[in-house]
Amino acid sequence: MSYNNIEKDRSEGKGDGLRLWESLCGGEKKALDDLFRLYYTPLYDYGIKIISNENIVKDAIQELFLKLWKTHSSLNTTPRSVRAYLLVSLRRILFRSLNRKQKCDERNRKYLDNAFRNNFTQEDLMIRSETDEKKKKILLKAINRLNKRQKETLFLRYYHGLTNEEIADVLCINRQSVKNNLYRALKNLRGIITSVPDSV
Amino acid sequence: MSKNEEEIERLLADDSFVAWIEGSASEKEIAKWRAWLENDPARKQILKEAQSFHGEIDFKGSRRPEVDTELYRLKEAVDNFERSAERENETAIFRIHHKTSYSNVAAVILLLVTVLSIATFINPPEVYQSDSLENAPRELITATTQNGQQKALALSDGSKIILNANSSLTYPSQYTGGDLEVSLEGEAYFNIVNNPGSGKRSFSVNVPGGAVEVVGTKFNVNTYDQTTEVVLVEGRVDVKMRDRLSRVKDSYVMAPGEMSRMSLPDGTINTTRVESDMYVAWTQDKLVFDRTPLAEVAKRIKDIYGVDFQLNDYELRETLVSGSLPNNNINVFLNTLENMLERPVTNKNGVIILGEQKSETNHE
Repeated sequence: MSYNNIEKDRSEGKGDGLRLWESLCGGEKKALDDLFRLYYTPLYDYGIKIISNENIVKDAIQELFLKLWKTHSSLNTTPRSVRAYLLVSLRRILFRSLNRKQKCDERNRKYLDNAFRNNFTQEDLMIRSETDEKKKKILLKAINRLNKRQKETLFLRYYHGLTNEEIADVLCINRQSVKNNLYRALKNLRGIITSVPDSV
Repeated sequence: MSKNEEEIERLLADDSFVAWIEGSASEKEIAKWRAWLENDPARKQILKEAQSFHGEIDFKGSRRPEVDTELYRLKEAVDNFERSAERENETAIFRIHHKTSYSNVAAVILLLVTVLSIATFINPPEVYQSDSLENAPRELITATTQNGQQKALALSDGSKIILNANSSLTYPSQYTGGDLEVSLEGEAYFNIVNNPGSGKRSFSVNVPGGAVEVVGTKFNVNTYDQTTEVVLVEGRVDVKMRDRLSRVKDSYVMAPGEMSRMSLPDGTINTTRVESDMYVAWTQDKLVFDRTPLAEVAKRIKDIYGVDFQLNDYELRETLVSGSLPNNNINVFLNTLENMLERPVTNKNGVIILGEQKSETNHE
């Protein structure tokens, strides 16, 4: 099936992540390393879409995991999804570094003009065959034409495999808005995809 | 037709449906969707299309190459944090010592040696031990630091002060509890313990033209300039500007995350919100910049290492620097800066010269 890697992400989100989280709360340093290895790439890939500065994203990930270790003994609640928890924390750190003078809600209302304006590239999409490639190019163009919110929602759903509820937590908006954004994004994409003839 | 078209996106925006086609749905959900499927023969086709479209949008995440080096960086930061936490614990033991009898002295001395040898790795601290000299006259001691040097001072109640480079801190040689007054020139980070058991005591830092009064708190004071900057991390402090006759000209009660600038020429206090972590990063041997003009970075380096930057070009002065730079050694710092700016950076007899840019790379 073509959504294999999503499946993998989902099961990791609920299984390994949570197990490691609990070990971390118990003070196991190795769990911190394993969490870092497990989530570094997805966090980076998300962060770089928010701020296109490698150093800032890397530092933010460092800050996130160091803080996790500093507070591990007081983390007495287990998040529904470790991935969603880490993504929202990273997002918060990055927004703070984007404009540290603004308050949180103010920041969210304005949804900083330069955040998530970065386009996706060929590299971001899975391509399995050459005939696939043509289709992907068209899909990519369509994804990049979506608005920022739709783009981010789509990315959180299809790259990170988050549920609507988890996406709502990450973006600090309600679940219905997530659903609407996703619906609109899918509608835009589907119109374009179905107009391209299927390969084979 | 149009109804079906619409339904596919609706279905894919539904968590339960997606869980079902991805195989992670609960028994109950599976039953629900099976029933949905059997209810209408046309739905078989809808399901097929939904699955195919769902599989179409597929992002890949290839493992980042720097995972291991970044993990190494994290481990170092964790180690650093734990070392400083250990140091704090040991300071607390000093406090207990003052009430104990002679039989414990050997152990305490051993402990003192351990404290010194652990801390010497980074900076030799001066352990400021209280009431050890009951009869000594009350006099003032000044701790000073040179270029690129830092000093850690521990108070017997667990409070600690870290003195940044080119700074001096004057404090009484003897401290038997109660109010404490110190004077600062340069920059220092204060972590003052608010000990409810020992009753209210005040701690104040005298700076040119004013004072910072503290209850129990973490804050940073920088007097390198004509303007004293106080950044509050935790707790509460009062900042006061005074005239020559010690009359209060301006005062402000700071909240965490604020920076007060006490301007000596105007005798006024201006407060803004800042990211306080950035201002205390030097205590962890880092300098953190976030879209900071190079001219300001240069000033910071001058304060710490006593070296001047040659920045004649206006555009160069306004170049924004973001990121975290190592601050335990000026050469390492300059190397990192060189990589960041993609310009050769050379140190000629204490003057830093920036060469021509190596490539056309854009850096914000």
